[in-house]
Amino acid sequence: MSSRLDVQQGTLVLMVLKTLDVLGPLHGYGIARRIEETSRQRLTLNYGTLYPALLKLEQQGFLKAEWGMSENNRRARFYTLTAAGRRHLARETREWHATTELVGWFLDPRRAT
Amino acid sequence: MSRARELLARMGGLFGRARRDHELDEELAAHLQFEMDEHLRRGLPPDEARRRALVSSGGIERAKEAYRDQRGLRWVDAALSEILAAAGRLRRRPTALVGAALSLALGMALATAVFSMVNALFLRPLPYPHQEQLVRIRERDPKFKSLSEYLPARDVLAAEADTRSFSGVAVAQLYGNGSFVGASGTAVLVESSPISPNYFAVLGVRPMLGRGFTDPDVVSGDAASPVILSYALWTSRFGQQSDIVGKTVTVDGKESPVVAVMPKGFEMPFGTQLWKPLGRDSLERLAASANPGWQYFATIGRLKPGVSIERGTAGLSANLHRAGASDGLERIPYADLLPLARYVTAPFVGELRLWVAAAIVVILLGAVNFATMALARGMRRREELGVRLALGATRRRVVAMLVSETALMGVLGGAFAALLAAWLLNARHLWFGGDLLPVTPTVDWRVVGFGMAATLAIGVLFGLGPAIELSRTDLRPVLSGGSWSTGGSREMRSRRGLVALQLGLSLTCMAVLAALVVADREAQGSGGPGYEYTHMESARLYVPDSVAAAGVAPSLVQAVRGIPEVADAAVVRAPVNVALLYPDWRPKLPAAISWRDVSPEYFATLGLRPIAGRLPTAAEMRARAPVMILSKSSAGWLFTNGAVLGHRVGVAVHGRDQPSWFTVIGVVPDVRAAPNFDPLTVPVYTMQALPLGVTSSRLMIRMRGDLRLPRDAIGDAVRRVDPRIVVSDVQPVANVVEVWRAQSRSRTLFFGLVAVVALVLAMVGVYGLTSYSVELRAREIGIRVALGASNGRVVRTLIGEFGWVAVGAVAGGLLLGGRAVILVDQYLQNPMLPRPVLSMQLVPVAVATATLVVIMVVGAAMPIRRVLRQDVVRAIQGGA
Repeated sequence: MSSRLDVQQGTLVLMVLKTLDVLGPLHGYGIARRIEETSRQRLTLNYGTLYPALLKLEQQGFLKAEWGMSENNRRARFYTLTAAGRRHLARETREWHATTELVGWFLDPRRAT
Repeated sequence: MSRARELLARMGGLFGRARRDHELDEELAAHLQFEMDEHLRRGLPPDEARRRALVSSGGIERAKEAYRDQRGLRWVDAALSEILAAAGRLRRRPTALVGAALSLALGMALATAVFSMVNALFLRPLPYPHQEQLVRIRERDPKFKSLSEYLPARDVLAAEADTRSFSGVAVAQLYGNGSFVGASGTAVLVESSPISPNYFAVLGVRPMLGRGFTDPDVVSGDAASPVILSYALWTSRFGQQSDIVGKTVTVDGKESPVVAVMPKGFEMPFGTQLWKPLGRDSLERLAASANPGWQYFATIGRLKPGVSIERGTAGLSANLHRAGASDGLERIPYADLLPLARYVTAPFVGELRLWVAAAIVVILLGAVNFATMALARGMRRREELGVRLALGATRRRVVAMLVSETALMGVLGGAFAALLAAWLLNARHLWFGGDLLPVTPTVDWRVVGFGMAATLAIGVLFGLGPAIELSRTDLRPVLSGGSWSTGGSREMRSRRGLVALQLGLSLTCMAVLAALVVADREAQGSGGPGYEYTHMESARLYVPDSVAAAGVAPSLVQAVRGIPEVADAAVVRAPVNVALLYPDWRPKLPAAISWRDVSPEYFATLGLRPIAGRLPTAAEMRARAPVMILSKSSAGWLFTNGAVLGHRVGVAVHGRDQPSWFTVIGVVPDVRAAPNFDPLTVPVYTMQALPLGVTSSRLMIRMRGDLRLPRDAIGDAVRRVDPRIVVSDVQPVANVVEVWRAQSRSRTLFFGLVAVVALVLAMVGVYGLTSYSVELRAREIGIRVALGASNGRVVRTLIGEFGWVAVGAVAGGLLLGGRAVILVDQYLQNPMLPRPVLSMQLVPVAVATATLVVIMVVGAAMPIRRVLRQDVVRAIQGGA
């Protein structure tokens, strides 16, 4: 498993929302870096995946974006989780646990009993 | 929820693209910079840092594409960029754009204006609750094939009694019941209707101020009855006084209390400005009377829910027959119910259909032009299209490109059209003399929607054909430089067919329009009153029944003649415009006979001398002898053999009345009456056979030389006869004639305008098509010339081909035109309302034909001349 993976469909939303939930307002690079670090460099996020996903979340009202200054004094667009985003994250997390549990039972029937 | 939000946001994303793109650039640049900073911190050289950052970005342009896809709506974006590109291409060649858009706009403006009238008349439902239940009750007598719009009192009561079909039946007394509002001298005559107290309730309308009539409002005899005002009258005459209800106003010389003001726009029956209550007892009295005389009623009913028109008709007919049989009547009519909505619009259907037809023809001409221009434009761009196809553009893409251009031209045409239509409607009084329609056509959402949708549809539909044809372009000859192909013989035929269609269609259109314009001109030329009116004045009279019964006409005439400036004067009762004639030698004729009952001085006052027979003698005048004078046209119409004098003619207003009999003693020249001065109104005159009362009568006054009537002279003279008589609208006859002239000129102008637009469109189209067809053959012509064909021979060949097209199209157009004129004439003729007969007008049609043929020749000659003048080699190479 040393090679880098592409982000699985649908899981990116969860990762982005969770990252912002934990770290607070972040710019795109920050989000990408954090996700890559958390995945121990096994995930790679290129611009074409990250920014459309951020835009979609913003359009759905889960994120808010504002221009601000970074720690090294560069202008950047910072994303913040909204209340709706927080609710969405909770729901997605529940669903994710339910799904993984279900899939786990199939892959390892002993755990289900 | 979040989906809807996303959609909204994406729609917002369609706007402010430049700003959003700039922000995206900045955001991605920042990301790149952060990553480079990171690499630099780890000690990588700047170049390597940048390279790595770029690699991990996964392609900045690709990211931007993906981002933009998410930002807006892809298909809208694609369409927008297609349209923007089309706009750019069109801007580079604006002439074709303006020409095509104008072509379409001219036709569409007319169509939009006409549609706004159709909309106002037919598409907006009547503003009454459950208007589908409302019917106009009429009577049909199958034996005499007659249809009566009005019911006698007896049958109104029978309808009222039919509670199985109707939830309510209400009546208004016949039109023509003008009321004089204001004091004599300054009074105005307004349309007024006596109505049954339940009239508004049956329609389902409520007064805006005050209350509707109730039974106690009905007064008898000469007492002032309460009145209800229309919004328009309340505004124009009473300055919208909010406390008018409860006050009194002067109506027909009496102080009448106002009980209500109706809402804006409510003027039922047509144009009513003042309503008076009509008592049920008067209906009952009339129903019981042996001779109901002139009393007939416009009757409306509200069908009970679930009762169909057919069931209502059958039910009421049965009721009428039961009642008629028990009364021992000989002839009993059948009921004939017509939806009120259709009744209200019926008088305008004919003329409006004609306008719609005119609009459709003009649109067709415009649309064919549009298609031709699209095709010609595309042909000139074959090389460009070829290159696009060769570079891998799909045919669908090329068609989409061409259609988006034509759609854009269509939308521009629609915008022009909307502006023009709004102007046409604003200037409506110019065209239609104001009060032609009972409603005001306005530009509402339906009208604008119609205009835009129709032009867009034409843009797409008429752009699609040429676009598909062009996308079939064979690449090889185009790309190898031989850009012009003559097209196959099928295409040649279809192009010639288009030329023929355009020519034929426009000639047909011209024939009908010329016939209409000439008929209208004739009506005006022979129009006017038909007597010398420069020294004449006229006035309206309101004579209450009680005064009229006393036979007030002679004293009125005498009083007015007593004014020193007056040479002669006569009183004319308001004409009975639709009557039945019973000549003593042939069956009765229902006709638009205008029965004029006049005082005997009438003929002298108007300066009419008998052209056959004589005028009544003094003894006949005194004795009110039952004599009749015919007008020249009525004599010709009634007595085809010319033996007029001495015959007896009966006149009745309704089939069931006993006719009154008169002996014809003379014939006078035709005279026409205001406001229409209709040349085919056929007047017959009787001398004081009818009482003068109630309806508006007219005073005709001939002045001495150039003398003018002193102010108030007429009012004073009439007041001396009887103060209850009201005089209004004193004015020179010349003024009335002038108003009529202006109105009827404007109608002619309208049809003339349509004709000119049609001709211009046809000229543009025929020119465009011919020159385009010939231009396509430039290469072939070049080869012929190169092979030794003389110029004359080339020209002869082309003439041979197009000559036949022209001859065929002209012949077809003229035949079709002649037929169309007859059809339109048949369509417009109405035995109750005759109008001038339409006939094929050879001169204007010949001029139009000649113009179009010349245009066709010029259209063919220009490209030929260019080809023959230029280097043959270049022509063959395709540089025509």
